[in-house]
Amino acid sequence: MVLESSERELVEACRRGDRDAFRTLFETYKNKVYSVALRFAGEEAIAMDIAQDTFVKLFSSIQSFRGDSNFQTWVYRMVVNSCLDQKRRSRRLIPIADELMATLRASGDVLTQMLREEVGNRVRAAVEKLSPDLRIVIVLRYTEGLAYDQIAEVLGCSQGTVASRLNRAHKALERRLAHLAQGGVHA
Amino acid sequence: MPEWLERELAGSLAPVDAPDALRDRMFRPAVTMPARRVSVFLIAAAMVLLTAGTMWLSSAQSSQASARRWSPANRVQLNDHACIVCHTT
Repeated sequence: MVLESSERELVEACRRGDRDAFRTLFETYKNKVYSVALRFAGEEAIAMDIAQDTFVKLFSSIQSFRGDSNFQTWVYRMVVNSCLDQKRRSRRLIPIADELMATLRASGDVLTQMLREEVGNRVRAAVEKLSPDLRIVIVLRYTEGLAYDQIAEVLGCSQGTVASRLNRAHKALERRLAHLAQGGVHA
Repeated sequence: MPEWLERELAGSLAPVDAPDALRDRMFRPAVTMPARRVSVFLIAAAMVLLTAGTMWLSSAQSSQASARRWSPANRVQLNDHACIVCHTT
């Protein structure tokens, strides 16, 4: 059984074709992979496709993992590549009449919750409008909480590039979401 | 960067749990025809339809020509005492 084994042993077991090891690897990384995919794509169906694609590539190419970098970094690289590969772009849905009516009918607590969700939707929509290069940096930073050097390692670029992209992304988001700050929802 | 943006990004982009459907997709794949097999099937079906269509069309034309040839309404043309409908070279 591989449940108690270290990451290296887990990878070795996967290389030998151990199904339990594959399952353990999947259970270990499924939330990370899916989170990055969902926050990047903004749509559950696309995120599922990206996550599936990532794990298929991961399982099929695990033989090529040399172990000279952190396995988690390697997994992040896989999901980032899958995200950047996907060409379909999600389109934000306009709230339908039923949702609007539900909002109007809702009581105070529910209304507050709905407003919070709406703010979240707008933030995510603004992130989705960023170019893929900027978006992936934002997702790795805020969804996965990676440090600049970790993001640089995942993306194969310098920390300076990461800092520059984050700075550009922050500026763009600040400009696009300024109305939220003015509306006082963050007070 | 303003503090509100940092807070809002962290809140709105928080990690989520993968749905169970992902596990099902990975380890219990649905029995579906692979895309390549589907496309081969579609090409084969199109070819069968095309062949059937061509055969039907040629048989229709042939019977039309035959009907025209033997229609009593056609005026029989004689050339050197030979019926040119029946005795074309």
